[in-house]
Amino acid sequence: MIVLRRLIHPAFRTTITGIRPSISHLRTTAARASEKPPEDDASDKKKEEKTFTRDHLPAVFTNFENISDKNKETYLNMVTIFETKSVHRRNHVEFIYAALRNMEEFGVHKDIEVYKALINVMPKGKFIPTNVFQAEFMHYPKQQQCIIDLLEQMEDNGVIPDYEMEDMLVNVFGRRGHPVRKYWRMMYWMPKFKNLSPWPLPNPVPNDALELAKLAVERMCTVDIQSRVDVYNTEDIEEAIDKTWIVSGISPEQVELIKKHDKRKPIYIEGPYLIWLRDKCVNYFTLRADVDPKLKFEDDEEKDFDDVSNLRVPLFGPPTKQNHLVPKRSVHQQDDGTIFAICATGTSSKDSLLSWIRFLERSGNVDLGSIPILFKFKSRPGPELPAVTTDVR
Amino acid sequence: MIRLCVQYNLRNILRRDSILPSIQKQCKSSSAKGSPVAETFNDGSRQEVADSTGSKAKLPQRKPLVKNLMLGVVDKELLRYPEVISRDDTSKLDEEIASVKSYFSDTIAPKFQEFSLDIPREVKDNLKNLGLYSFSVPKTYGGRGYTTSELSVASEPEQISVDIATSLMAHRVVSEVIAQFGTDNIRETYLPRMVDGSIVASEAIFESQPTENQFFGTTAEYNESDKVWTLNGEKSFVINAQDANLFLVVAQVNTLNRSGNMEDGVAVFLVDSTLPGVKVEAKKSFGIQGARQGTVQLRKVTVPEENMLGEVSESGMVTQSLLKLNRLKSGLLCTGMLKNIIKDMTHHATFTKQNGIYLKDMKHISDRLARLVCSTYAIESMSYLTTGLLDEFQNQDVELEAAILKLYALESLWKGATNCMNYLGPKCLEAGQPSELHLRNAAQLCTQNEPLDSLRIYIGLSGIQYAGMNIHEVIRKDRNPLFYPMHVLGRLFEKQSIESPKLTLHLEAEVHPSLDLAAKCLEQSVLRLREATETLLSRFGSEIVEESVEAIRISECMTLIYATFASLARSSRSYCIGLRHSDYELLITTILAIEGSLRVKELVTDIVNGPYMTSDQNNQKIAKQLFKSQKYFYEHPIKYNF
Repeated sequence: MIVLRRLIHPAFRTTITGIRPSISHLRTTAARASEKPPEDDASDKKKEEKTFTRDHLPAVFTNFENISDKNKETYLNMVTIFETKSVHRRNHVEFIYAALRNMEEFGVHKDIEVYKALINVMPKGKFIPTNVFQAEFMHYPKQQQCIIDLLEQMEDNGVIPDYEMEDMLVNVFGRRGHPVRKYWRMMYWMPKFKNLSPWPLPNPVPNDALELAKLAVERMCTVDIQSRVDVYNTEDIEEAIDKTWIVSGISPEQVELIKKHDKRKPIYIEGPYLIWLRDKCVNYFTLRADVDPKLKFEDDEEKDFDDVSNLRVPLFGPPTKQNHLVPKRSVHQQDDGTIFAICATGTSSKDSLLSWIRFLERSGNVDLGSIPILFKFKSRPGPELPAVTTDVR
Repeated sequence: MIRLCVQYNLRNILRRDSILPSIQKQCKSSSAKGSPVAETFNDGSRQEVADSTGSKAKLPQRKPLVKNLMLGVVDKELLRYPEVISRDDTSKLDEEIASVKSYFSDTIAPKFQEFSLDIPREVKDNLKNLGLYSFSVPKTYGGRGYTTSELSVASEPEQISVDIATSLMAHRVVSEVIAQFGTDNIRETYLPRMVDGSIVASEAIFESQPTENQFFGTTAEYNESDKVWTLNGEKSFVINAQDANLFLVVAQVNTLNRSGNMEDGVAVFLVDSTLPGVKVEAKKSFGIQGARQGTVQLRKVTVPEENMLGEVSESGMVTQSLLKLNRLKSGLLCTGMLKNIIKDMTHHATFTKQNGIYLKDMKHISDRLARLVCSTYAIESMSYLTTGLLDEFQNQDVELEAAILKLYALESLWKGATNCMNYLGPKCLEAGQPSELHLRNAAQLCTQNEPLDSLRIYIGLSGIQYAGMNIHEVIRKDRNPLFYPMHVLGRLFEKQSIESPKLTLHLEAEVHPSLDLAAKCLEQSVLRLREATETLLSRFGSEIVEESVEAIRISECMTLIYATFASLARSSRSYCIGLRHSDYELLITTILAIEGSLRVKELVTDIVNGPYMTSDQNNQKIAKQLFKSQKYFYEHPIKYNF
């Protein structure tokens, strides 16, 4: 049966496009539908004025684009208006497509309640197939595709549906409806993907730049689990001009590396680099030195693993790194340089970075005072470059 | 009768094992032969010992026993348990320690629990008068000059009180090390006064804080002009710290090696407690509180050049010997403690009635006690086999034997001490109960000195190191099959199976025929161990030193095999000369051999299967995540995800 279904399905999709329009087609119709409304609305408005009785709803019935105060309340009001204006709910597919397109502007694209409200627009019972053929051959294709697109948009926005939504979909399309099947697939995969990231972030991420910077630096510091993240306030340094915060990450191993660094060789403050936390990005800087030419990488080390004639076993305690001729390369010693520390500052300005170095010097890295430090900026940082920018899609 | 029992056991326990038919056959054939072992006891080498015991001349060195097991080589001669102390010496020894024995059994035993907090002054004086401090000081310096075996026998009575025994143990180890490595001048200065206890010595080896790059935080620097060493650092867990007036301190030194480079090394120093800069502080310990552990602080303490025992170049040897003595003695101590535990438990089980039935009549309690007896028997056998090897042969390498003895003894002691928790209930942890005291003392002993895991890794890796020295050419070929195709082909045919290795050593010919099964189990284990060693070396090459999980597995195999070996040798001797209860010795040996070989088989299978077939790899993965999250990272069992 399943095989048969799979065979029929693509064939059906290509041949009966007249009945079941492709997604792109639907999108264009939807677009047209939303373009049209002025005249539709005009005619609707007249009816609306007669039938509409609820006081709290706006008297003027208009489309999504025309609403000036865009938020969840007005959005849901729009849906209610549509639901109540006529018993037949004509053009509800077009309405849903229009609503879907405008979600982001209303800031409700991650809100499951809104999606439920849109599904609720669909009439219950009418679209439930009554026989096998209807079930397999996409009963009411336009309506089903519309809700599939709605679910798709939920998926794109990372909104996991809930069980109530399943009941709603079943009420509309029956247990064999394609949206219900899509729902089930979503419920299989989305919870699994939800926790897959090794660096979990709050959802949504905080808006506060300092909190974001902390999250970003903490995330980058996971390469070395011994790392410490400190938050400094430049007001503690007299010389500082910029009064701002600094989030700095450094590990004991990096402190050791700074100690070992050749004082004659300069080190660089490089940046700003970008790190994305969900839809926000943070500028950060690194304190980096060139690769130590004396450092032999393990790959170069000539070790004869086949020679077991003289294994070293210490008397006290387990064997240590002494078994290596060359000290093990630290994770901070990369091929393109040695990274000593990272930071993000409130202003990303040269002065705040200077304060950062002063803080590092104060907290145990005395050697930084005697090493020449150069700025190597990718773009010119200044007060105009904020620490945090938000992705506007 | 016993033979029948053994065969019966065998049939029941090893039914699934394919060796059964061959063993049965062997049993029949060997029983027909009678006991050839009894005769072999009187061969030339043994005679020589008997002649020369007076002058204490030792036999030439043999190859190390346990290390050779890694190569699948068993020193069959040693399956005849060493009789180092001659008959005359035994009776002399008995006479000498008769007073000690009676003192401990009459005066100390009834109130040994009172010493668990502090040993009273008069008891300490009595110990001095009885000559307990002089046991291991050579005769030339007025001591008793006991050999290791004699010392073990002589120190058995004192084990009634662990607190007394540990204090004496520390003193004796120091005197032995001085006698062995000190210059004449040093020996003259210290040893005569160590006889009467006017100098009480103790070791200060271990520290409470691990140091980052070296073994010890205590350092010693040499001053060329004044010819003195300056010591700095702090030593913890020093037994008898406040009474002792001589400390044996192990410190980190920088020495010139042969190529002229500075190299990190470890050296042993004698430090007088009266020297300026030495500060002793008592610390309350968890168990063995009567031994009054403490810390010894050393601040710029200068000691003359002579006080470093041994040459700079041989300082490794001194520390090794120090550790060896320590390990041997803690093995002995455990035997004593286990005997005390067994005595208490047996008494308790015999006279306690629960719900109308005596504890002794409950099968699970009998089973637990019997297991305890088994391991005690094994420890005892290993102790005297090891000391025998040390005394009988010149410079015999027993470092691994000593380490294994300590490991097995401590593990058994811990099991024994926690045994009563299984059936006594909360009562066993009440303050003042002997079981509570045993438990605390056992816990203290288990953590005393080196942690058990270091010991395990040391045992495993030392064995592998020895194997590597001997079979490195084969391993090189194994690891480069394409360069040595003929070698690989040859390997294919000789490959032993883990399931049923081909027995070629004929160990059963060396022991009483009743022990046929045990001997075969031992041989199987040895052959499996060899297989595991070769697998590990060819799989990891020189990186094996970092594979501590495998090292621990190997060490468990070695421990079980050595325990079986020692018990086999001992029970064979006892049965051949007809000691009382020797039939029960056969039973114990058979149990140890069968259970040991099953466990070894399991471990070797794990080793051969490698990290992906066992859970090793998965454990590493979990641990990695654990270190990342820094806490138990799993979500709550009833958390919702959507």
